[in-house]
Amino acid sequence: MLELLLLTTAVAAGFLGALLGLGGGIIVVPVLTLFYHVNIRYAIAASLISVVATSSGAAASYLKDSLTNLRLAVFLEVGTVSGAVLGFVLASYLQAKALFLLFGLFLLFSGAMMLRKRLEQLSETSHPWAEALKLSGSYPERDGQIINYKVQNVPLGLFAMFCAGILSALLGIGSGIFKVLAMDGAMKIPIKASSATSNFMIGVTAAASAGAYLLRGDVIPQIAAPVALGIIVGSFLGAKAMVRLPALRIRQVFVVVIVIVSLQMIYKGLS
Amino acid sequence: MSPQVNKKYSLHDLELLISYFLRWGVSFAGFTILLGWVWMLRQENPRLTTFTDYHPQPLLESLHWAVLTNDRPMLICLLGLGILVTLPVLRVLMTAVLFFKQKELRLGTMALVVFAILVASFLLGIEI
Repeated sequence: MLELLLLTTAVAAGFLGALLGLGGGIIVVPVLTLFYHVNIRYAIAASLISVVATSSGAAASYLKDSLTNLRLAVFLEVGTVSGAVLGFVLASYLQAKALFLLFGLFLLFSGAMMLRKRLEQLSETSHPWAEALKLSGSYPERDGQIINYKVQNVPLGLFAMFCAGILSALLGIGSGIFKVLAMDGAMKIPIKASSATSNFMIGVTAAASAGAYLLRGDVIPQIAAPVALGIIVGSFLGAKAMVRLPALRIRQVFVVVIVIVSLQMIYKGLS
Repeated sequence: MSPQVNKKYSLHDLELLISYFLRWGVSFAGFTILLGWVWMLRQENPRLTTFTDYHPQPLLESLHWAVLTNDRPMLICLLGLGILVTLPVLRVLMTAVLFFKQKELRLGTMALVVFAILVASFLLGIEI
């Protein structure tokens, strides 16, 4: 049965997405379009549903661990959600070929980002906006030590979130890589806090366009249901397995696969 | 307890409340989608290859059709998907209300702006 095969594929996509730190959406869209020949617009909408599900589930855990900066998330969500609205409108006018091309390029970028070494650079000072809105935060380490951090480059971060929102709606992804890159790279937020805060925002960003896609009829339950259920299960298993498996080595191996798939998507976009 | 500590404690309370809401919401939506999908599988065998071409049917039409044909699996599945997508929107509204309760007017307003944009984006799905 093709539907059960799709469910299994979605479990694998969620598992790999969690293991590689990419999220399930970025894997499931190429699989749906290249292997199952599902129209890319349906694939994007189904993927967004799964992004909402996994992000909301993970956000609950991060919130409980006090890793999420709720104040910063609310502020940056203004950017991501506005971007998502623009992304949805743009997607309505873009041809499927352009979506394939964009997706392929973003996948290539994500592959490169997987290999990047993330350096922790805490800032000594806060941006004036961060001071005014009290966006600086703190979180507890496992040993109980409290890490305090300040927030830099707030306007740049807000603009990056706007771009992340556009990408999310256009490509059906959480664009977590982009968000984390802006937060730990530009805004100098510690990796743990930026990952948790990004995850918290992803659900809202994806919901902005997922709701519109659902109402327009792009969300096909026969596709979206197994994809969402599979990715929820797969992400859960992937997060558990990440602790035991050599995640770095797996990332290095799968970068090759991601590059091949991205080239296929680009080729489909150009052909 | 100093006001600073009290405020910090309240923010953590807020985080916990949202965390429980999200956890239960996702579980409920996931279960509803699973129920609808499994029921759908038992009734028909839709082939994915039929979704190669893009011909979207608006949600309101799908719902109307499902009610007319008494397609309960489809209705349950759509209900689950609807709940799932609405969860983050309700979470934003909840955050706004709780920030206002904490007298955090600027952040409360921002959360309300996000909520308004989300509602507008949903309406775009009907318009476009």
